This record gives sequence, C-alpha cells and structure tokens, in this order.
Amino acid sequence: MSEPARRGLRTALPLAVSALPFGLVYGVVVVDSSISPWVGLAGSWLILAGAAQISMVELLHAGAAWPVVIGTALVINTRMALYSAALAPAFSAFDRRWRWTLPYLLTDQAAVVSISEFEHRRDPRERRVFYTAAALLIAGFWWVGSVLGVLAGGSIPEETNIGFAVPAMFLALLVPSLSNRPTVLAAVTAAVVSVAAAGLPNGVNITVAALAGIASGRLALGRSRSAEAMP
Amino acid sequence: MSPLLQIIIAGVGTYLLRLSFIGLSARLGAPSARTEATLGLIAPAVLAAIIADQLFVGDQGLVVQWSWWIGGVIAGLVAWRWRSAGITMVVGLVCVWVLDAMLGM
Repeated sequence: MSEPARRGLRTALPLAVSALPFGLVYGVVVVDSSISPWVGLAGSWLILAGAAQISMVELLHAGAAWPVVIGTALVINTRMALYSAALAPAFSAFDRRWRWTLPYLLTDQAAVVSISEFEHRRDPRERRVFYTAAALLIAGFWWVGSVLGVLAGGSIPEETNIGFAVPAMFLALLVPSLSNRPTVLAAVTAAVVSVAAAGLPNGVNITVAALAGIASGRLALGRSRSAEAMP
Repeated sequence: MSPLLQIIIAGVGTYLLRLSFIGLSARLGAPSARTEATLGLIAPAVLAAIIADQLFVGDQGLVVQWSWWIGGVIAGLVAWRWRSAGITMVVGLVCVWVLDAMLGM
C-alpha cells in the first residue's frame, strides 16, 4: 500500500470510527419510523450524509410532502457545495473521471482531513490517493453503522448518549483548523448564528450560520491585510 | 411519490452539490491568494455551525443539556491539547456518562 493511502487511512480511522455511532443513530431512527429498513439503508448509499438522512426519514415518517422532504435534505447538504469549492483547486489537477466520481464520497470528515493534508501535500496523484483512502474508510464505517443500527433497533438505550460522539468528532476536526484570528472569528460567528437562527426550518440555520461565519472571517482577513500594508 | 424515489432524487441532488465546484474546477483555473484564504474559512465555519446546532438546538428549539455542554468544553480542550479525534471522542463520551451518572443531568 502506498504512503498516501496509509496516511489517508491512518488519519481517517478515528473519524471513521466515530461515524459508526452516527450510523447507529440513523439506523435506530429508521427502525423507529414507518419507512422500510431497506429503503432507509438505501439512503446511506445514495445520500451518504447523516443529518440529511435523519431529517428525511423523520419527515417521511411524518407524511411530509415530497418537495419538503427532498428540499430539506438538499438545504442541509448545501454545505457540500462549500466543501466542493474548498477542494476544487486540488481536484482540478485530477483526471476528468476522478473529478466526476470522487465527489460522491465527499463527507464532512473527508473534506476536512483532505483540506488539511493538501496544505503540505502537493502531488496530485498523492492527493487523490489520500482522499480516496480516507473518504472510502469513512463511508465504509457509515454504511456498517447504519446496518448495525437497523439490526440493533430499539435495543440501544438513549442513556448511552452515543449521539454525543457526533459533536465530539466535529470538535476534533474543528479545533486544529483554528489556526489564526480569521478562522476563530469565522467559527465563533457561525456558532452564534447557528443557535440564534435555530428557529429556521430544518437545517437552514447551519447553512446561514456557515455563510455568516465565512463573511465575518473574510472581513477579518481584509483587516489583517490592511494592517500589514500600513507603514 | 414513493420514499425510495424521494431518497434517490435527494441522493442525485446531493451528488450534484458535491460535484458543483469540483466539476467546474478545470475551467476555473488557479484561485487567487484572496480566494484561497477565503476557502480556508469554510471548514471552521461549517463545523462550528454543526457543533453549535448539535449542542444547543433540539427538535423543539433550544435545549438545556448540561452534560453535553460540559462534555463539549472538555472535548474541545482535549482536541486542542492532543489533536486526536479518537482521544477527543473517548474522553468526551466518558465525561458525558460520568456527568449524567453523578448529577443526573
């Protein structure tokens, strides 16, 4: 196995392990709903995005109209377009077939570890191998977690707080990315706006908050540049 | 519309969102330093928005869950000190279990 593949697997392993309980939570949500377990599991293959899948299953169970169900999933997943923008410069050096197929595996975790790795790994082939290894491992654990969740069903008590693994995993990704004042400001703004906009429909608060965070960080970038330019 | 068809459409839509900028990347050319710096803000902003939503927002609006909040602070400190996702998750989960058991929160 090549060094970038080993590195991708090693970097992604703890994040992939934490995708397992998230998958479990999704599987339990599916079993608790009126949706067929097979249809629910198909979501893990077709959508590959936990928060959107959970919201979809809950809305389908509640009998929501199809535009609401599909629209909610897509709104929650708009952050994937942001990750796509962040990774586009690196992916531009890949062959067309990879540019069109590898985005299928794009998840929060795969995006963040790759963005971080690509800062010091410049070779396009190595970047592609690293991303593929990391993203496949994370997706694999998500699929396994979903299946286990469906099989375990209601036998996972809520008191286990297994759902806390999800914010803990994202914290582990967030903290190393806070490398300067603009990134800290972007994160703080996004967190505050996410809570302040909690009343918005399913998942919209996250996209609004992320855009507000990016805008505030951008302002801070502009200010630091201006300060540097001063004599 | 059947649930499976709705999931398929959401899956295709999600794939197109993932593909969006990557699919156009070959035509976009190399980003400027200004654009690159802005792209570096995406991950922290999205992650912080998700974390805050998970810790503070429930189905019915804002939620009070002290064990998760304290566990979140401790997990954040552990992530800062050790930079390890595995250690962060294990310590965070253990903290939440201990706090729940001790304080009945």
